[in-house]
Amino acid sequence: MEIVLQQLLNGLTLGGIYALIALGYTMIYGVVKLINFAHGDIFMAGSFVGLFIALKISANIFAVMFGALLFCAVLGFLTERAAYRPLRDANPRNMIFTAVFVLVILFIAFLSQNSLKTLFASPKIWIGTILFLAFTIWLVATGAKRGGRKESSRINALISAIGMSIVISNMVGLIHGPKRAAYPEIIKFSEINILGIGFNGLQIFIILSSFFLMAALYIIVHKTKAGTAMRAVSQNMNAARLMGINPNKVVGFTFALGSALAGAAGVLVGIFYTVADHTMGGLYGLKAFVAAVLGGIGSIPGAMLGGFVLAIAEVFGVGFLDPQLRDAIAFGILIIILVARPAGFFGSTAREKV
Amino acid sequence: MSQIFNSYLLQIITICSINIIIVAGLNLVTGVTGQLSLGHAGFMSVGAYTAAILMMKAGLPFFFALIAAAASAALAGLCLGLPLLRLRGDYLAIATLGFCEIVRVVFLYARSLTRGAVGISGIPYHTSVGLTIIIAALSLIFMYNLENSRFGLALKSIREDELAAEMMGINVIKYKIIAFAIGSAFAGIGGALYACRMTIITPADFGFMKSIEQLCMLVLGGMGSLMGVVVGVVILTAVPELLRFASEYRMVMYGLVMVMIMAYRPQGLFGKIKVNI
Repeated sequence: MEIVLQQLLNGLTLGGIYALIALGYTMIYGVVKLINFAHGDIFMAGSFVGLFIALKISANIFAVMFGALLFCAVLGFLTERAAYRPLRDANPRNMIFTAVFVLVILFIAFLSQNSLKTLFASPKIWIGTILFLAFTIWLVATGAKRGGRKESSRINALISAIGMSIVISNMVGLIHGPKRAAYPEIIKFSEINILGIGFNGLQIFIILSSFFLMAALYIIVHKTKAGTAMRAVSQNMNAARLMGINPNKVVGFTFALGSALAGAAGVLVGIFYTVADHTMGGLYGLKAFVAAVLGGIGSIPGAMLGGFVLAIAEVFGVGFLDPQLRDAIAFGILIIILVARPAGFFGSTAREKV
Repeated sequence: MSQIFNSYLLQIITICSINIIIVAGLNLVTGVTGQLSLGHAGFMSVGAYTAAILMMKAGLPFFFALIAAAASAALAGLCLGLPLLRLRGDYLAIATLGFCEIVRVVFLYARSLTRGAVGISGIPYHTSVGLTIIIAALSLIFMYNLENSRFGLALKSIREDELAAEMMGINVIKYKIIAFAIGSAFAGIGGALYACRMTIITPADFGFMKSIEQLCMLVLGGMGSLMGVVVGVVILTAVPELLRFASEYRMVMYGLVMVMIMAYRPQGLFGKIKVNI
């Protein structure tokens, strides 16, 4: 009995984390009908930013959390501007933003490995930069001539998202180095006794913080003007535009909000597992996506429930079957859900999204 | 010195040819039929493991192992396609991704046959440059003829508009499944050649990133264009080799190129048509 309760608590802890990440997927899907593959990597970046703040600035849990939330919100917003907006709206300003973003990323990547002096000294770098710029200019010039498209298909957005995911995870790998990072102990808890069974206080803390963040999200989505605009855009973007809502602003806001939740989840994972790894975004991202699909993608309560159900299934599978089957369980659930009921728990033909 | 350089160049050409076979298969599924697959490496691993096990345990000659690899990958494609190809767009992409991960876990788990994470080593080396080039050329010719046959036209009509294709009397599900099986068979052949070239395979070789790499080659060249397949594969296989000095930035470059191509030139370098999903 105690083992079952303990496993249930493990499941709830993991479920809170999955649910926080899944909320970002589901909100973004609701608004722009795009699977944001970079979401898992934004979560990972949040974990690393939390680590950086804890080590270099302040080990206060609120400072760490706030820093990660803020950084991830900005990162999510920039991702949307650079990788997705040019596909929705091909106006020159968006195109130039993407080019500038790419150059800045390359510059940061270079500086992470070399000093500023070598940037001006090495001929290889000059040749590389000139070739890259020529390639960019050629792409812009010929693309504009042949293209003339107003909106892109969804497969393009998906591939752009995958590209962005590769960029973020490898940038963190470059800046931090390929090794795993040990998380410091930011917050201490003693064992809590409930009904004679000892529970890990840290797990209770993680569950409570994820519930708190979800409640905050609920208030933002349902009680504020921005949240109302978000729900309007997710129902019908064109009608929302006619009502005087600027869809680009709403999409940017949604990305920022979803990414901030992912950043918080990143810090929670760091505190709980005491380790951060620049490749962890992929697996957590995929699992959280499975949770979002399980609950019905586009539905906020669905993502919350899906996260908990998936995590509990996974934890019990690991506990009672075989630890090696961990990933197979999650993806098996995904395929069964997709075949049997693609709309998930809360999805229906006339479902309310976001 | 020139001897070393030549063998190095030949190695790159061999890898290019193997990748061309695999990406040509992906092109049939994603470029021609318009069904986004993120699990192509899964079929590649099915082919690679089939060939390796048959050659090592059953002592089958290389040529038969190659055919068996194609057949087993096609069978896997068929089994996956039957339930999943009713899904569309994003859902199909995620389901194929899930399949790829499950295949990896299964190979990791079936230790008696695959030796788990250690992988199978000591696979006989059979791939010469000539052989892989010939197989790659044959697959390109096959794909060209297939695309321009009645069957290929049906696939293209499914890509353009599934509903309209159905109204024209095309059995959409059947055609999609056949295309999926053929594409998987090519991935299986490529996987078998890969196994025979590397002489060692582990489940980690065929992860999600491998599928993404293949998709990136296809996208860069242009979906739905065989010329694009060749150019995309050659660029993304050869350029990283030439840019060894910038190896630490390679993956970042990959990602940025994908983002930029999608923003500025979604049809790829050679693609003529836009894929709608």
